[in-house]
Amino acid sequence: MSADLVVAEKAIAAMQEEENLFEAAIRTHARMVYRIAHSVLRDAAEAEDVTQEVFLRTLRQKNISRIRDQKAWMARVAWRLAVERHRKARPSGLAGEADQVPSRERAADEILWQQERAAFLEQLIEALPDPLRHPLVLWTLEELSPREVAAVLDISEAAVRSRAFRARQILRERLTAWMERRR
Amino acid sequence: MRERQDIDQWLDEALSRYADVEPRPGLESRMLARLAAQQPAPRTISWWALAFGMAALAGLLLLWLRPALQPAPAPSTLWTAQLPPVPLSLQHTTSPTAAVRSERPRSVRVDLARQNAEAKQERFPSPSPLTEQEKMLARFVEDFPQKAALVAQTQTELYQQDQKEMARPWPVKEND
Repeated sequence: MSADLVVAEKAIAAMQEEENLFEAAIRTHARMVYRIAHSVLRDAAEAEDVTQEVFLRTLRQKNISRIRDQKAWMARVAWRLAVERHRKARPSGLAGEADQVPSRERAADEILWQQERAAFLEQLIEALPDPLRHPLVLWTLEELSPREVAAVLDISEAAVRSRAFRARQILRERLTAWMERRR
Repeated sequence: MRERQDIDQWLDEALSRYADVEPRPGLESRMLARLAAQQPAPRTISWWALAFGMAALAGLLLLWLRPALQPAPAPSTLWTAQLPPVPLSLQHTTSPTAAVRSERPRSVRVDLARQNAEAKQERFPSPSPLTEQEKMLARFVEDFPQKAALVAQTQTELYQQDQKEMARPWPVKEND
């Protein structure tokens, strides 16, 4: 029986250690997970739901002490869940929506102009195809290095850089065209 | 050129809005609280399962070890000492009719004996205690094994002699 007690004590200690690790992971990575989710979903409540889902999955499916790189693993799960949720929320076929945005009336002052431009830019970014938008957006998150973005997207680091560059180029062209239309 | 710089700046500003997002204060605490609220059932079950599992394991171990911990009963040397070996004269009969007659019953007997032996082995050690006579005999065999062997040998010889006598063809009277 004493051997059984030792085994039970070890199991309890392991569970407590696992709980401590899990809590530490939440405190360390929750903000990053939230930002990744928000970068895809652009909604605070949805991003928080995804954040919760990421940690719930971590708790249910993985032994956290066995995850080699917690940050990369959680970033990847967060991105996948957010993309999945975004696809469900947004039906396909909206990729070219930004091109069809009707030109708005000229704002009288600079503030309105800035707001209008910012809204249009956001629409442009959202309208980018996913293979270009995801590297660009994830790269802007300060928590993730290009190497980690590459690991999340499962592409090479060079591909991350080239796609982000291409995305910026497209945005620049479309913004220029939009501004010319407004003149 | 100026316009290009402006556009790049606007792009950076737009992208920074993706990066500079701050969750509502207390995100970590909310996550911990929500996960704790969603997880209690499985956690409780696992603790109870662990406790019941340990108890069941201990019970099974006790059941398994119980026969081994009990003192084994003294071996029944009485039968080994008393039972003589089966005489050869019984196995090989000279009479052809006797051979034919004894063929089937003997095999049946052997099978039954084997079955009985197997049944005894399954029930070994026998739960019934030895009688006083058996205990005395067993003690005698243990204390004086040579004498016991001599007695057994003498009895075996006597038994064999009796069997030989019985196996002889019955003398037929001339009158018959």
